[in-house]
Amino acid sequence: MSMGGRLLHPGLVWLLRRTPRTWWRSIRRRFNGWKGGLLALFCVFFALMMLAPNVIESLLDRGADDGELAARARDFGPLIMLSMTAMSLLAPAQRRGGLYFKPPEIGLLFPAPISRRQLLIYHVLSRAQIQVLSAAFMTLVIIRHAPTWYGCVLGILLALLFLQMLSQTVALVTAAAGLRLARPVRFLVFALVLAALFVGGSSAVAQLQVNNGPLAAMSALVAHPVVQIVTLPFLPFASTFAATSILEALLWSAVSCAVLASLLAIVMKLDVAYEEAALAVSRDVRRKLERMRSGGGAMAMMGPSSAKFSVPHFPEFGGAGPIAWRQTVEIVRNARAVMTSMLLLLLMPAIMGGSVFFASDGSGNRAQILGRVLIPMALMFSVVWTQNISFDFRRDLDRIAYLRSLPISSLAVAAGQILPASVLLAAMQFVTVGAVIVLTGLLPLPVVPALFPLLLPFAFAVFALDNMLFLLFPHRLDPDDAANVGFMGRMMLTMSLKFAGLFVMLAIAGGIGAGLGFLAGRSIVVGVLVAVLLLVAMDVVLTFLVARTYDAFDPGRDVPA
Amino acid sequence: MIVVEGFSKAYDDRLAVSALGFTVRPGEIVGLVGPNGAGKTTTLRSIAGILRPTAGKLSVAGHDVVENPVAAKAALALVPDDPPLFQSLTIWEHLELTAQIYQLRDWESRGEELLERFHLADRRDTLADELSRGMRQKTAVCSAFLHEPKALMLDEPLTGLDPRAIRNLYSAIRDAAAGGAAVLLSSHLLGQIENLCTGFVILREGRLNAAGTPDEIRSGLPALGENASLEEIFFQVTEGTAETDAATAAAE
Repeated sequence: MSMGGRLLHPGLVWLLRRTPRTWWRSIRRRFNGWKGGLLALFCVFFALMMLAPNVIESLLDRGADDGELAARARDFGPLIMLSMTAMSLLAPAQRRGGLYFKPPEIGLLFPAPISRRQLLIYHVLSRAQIQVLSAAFMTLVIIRHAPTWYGCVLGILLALLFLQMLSQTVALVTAAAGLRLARPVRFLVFALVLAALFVGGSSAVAQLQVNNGPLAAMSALVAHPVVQIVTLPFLPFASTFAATSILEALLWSAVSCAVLASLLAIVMKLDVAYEEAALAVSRDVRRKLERMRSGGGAMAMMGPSSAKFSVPHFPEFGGAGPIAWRQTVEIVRNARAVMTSMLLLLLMPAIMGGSVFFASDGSGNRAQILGRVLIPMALMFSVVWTQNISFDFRRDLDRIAYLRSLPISSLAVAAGQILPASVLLAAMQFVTVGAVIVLTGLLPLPVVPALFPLLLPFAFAVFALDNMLFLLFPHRLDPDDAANVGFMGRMMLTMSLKFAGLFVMLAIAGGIGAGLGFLAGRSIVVGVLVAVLLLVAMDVVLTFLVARTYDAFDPGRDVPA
Repeated sequence: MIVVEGFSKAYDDRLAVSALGFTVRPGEIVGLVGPNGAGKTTTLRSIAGILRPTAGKLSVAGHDVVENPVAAKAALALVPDDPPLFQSLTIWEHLELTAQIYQLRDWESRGEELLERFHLADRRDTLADELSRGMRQKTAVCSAFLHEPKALMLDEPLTGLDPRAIRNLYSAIRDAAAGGAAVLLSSHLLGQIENLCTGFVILREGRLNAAGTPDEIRSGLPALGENASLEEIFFQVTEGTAETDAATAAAE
């Protein structure tokens, strides 16, 4: 047997060939039953809504647009790829230094008679299979922004393969350098990228100062010689994407393939004993992914803080107190993730607001215009953002059987589960909206303290709807499942239902509040008070509904694998 | 044969295993026992070539695990603790994968026989994702036995198994040993493995505390009677103060 001498072990070839079938099985299983059917419908609907217009538009003759699109893709593509590389350096696997292998790969392939190099080639190829899927999806999303469909297909696929191999090379280099050096190596690369952007950023700022808008600033940034040098390795991929003829696309694809081949040669040459680093990284990543899988969202990747703050016990309230106390402890012990989440919540409207600010022509009161844009934007983001602060049933999917065993009524459990996260969300909204009001002067300052009691019933409604929909359509994110298309459909379904529910609630509360306020002599105070009271009453009804859904939830049947 | 000579393994500054030495000969079934954190899994993973030893020599069927890992692994099977299976492969496909990896020919009848033996025959087309912990364990055991390894290592193999499966596993392990395989298994269920194993290696905090047949270890512990159980030996060795003569003999 000379299995170790072959380029790729026959067992690994078998496994790679089997992968598309396993993906298909995974998709089929996700769409089982009436709920699965509904999700499948939503997936198709979502795909048609989002992707079909892109494809149709790309097929139409756009004539003169092509040149402009090509120029933009060639200019900004390398920078976008550089940013993606920098982001991937922050990924959990890179943080520790080493390749990430899935648990079955470690358990079944590491002790098997497969050489290290064969396993490495398998790692490259198996991850490339996933990139092909991702490239297909990304192509459909951004095809309308590409000059040609073939350039788009080739460019995206080659770019994703390059990013993947670059990340594998960095992982191997850090594994070779040792885990202790992983952090400094990562930091150094990240610092270099930042330094280049900082140097190039000066010309971008100069463009902003003369009020030339963000596009001119970005053009100045990418035209800076330092940025051009740093982004040079990404140029062939952006140029493939930007190609306006088949010949050009093929030529740039050939250059891109040469770059990929060189990277593959480096990966193969780096015959380091990566197994142990891979084991440590995989354990680390696994732990974080498990936390995310159990419903903590992306922020759960950070894990609990080391500081053990204590929280005083709450009054019993029929059992809701201890349940709420437990969730509050979770929030406090995950302060780091909560703070990051809050920072991102502030950042996203700030970025969008910034672009609106710079894009405006300077007439009128810019600050007030900004405030009017930012407040609804911040509230909308916070509604979408709840997955990342899901200190409720979503995080307790594996503990529902335990919760059911407690001598506490389902109504008290539902209230106790939802309230702490709602208070947290209301606090986040309060800080964001309050900051906007203070900075823009949109409303008088004395209004700010009154915001919290207004925001709390709204936040409670958001979480109650989230939890009810989750208990109806329970799911977990499976990070190892490349064909996790059901997740997207489920997300779209629950998000649509959540927004519809919120719209109806706000319309009823707002409509009746406005009507009664009008009757009370156009009193805003009466109107707002009535609306809030109505929202509170609807929250009570929602809590009963969550309790009913929780009662109907069968941990033996409904907990997803 | 599994040979461990002067094996040490350090993680950063922590020494997980220190100067460990023992041999498992063909036909022997050796129990690797010790409290949590004693270094059992580290030792098994190092012999399986997953972890690189910091010092010492590990060999399987005459092949050095570090120098010639593929040949060593070809003679070896490891059943890890809570075996992670490929979620979207069926039980039968796991056997098929094993057959591909070890380049087995005409393995199907043996595969079917193993599935019958471990009561998995009627679930052969079930996906791993739908299996209970015990069934995943049995699938991993069937995969491990499929290529008739010369060295068989099992990390906590009894966890999750029902009494019938435990009995079947015992008989399969005994058959493998009778066929000339060297078997090394770790377990906390001392009462369960006492009558299965022909010898024991007892670790504490990464060091060898005792090794040999139960009689040999007992003879090094005068405080214990000649009928002392493995559990009594274990507590005396891991919580007692005296290093045993058996440990010294094994280290030599």
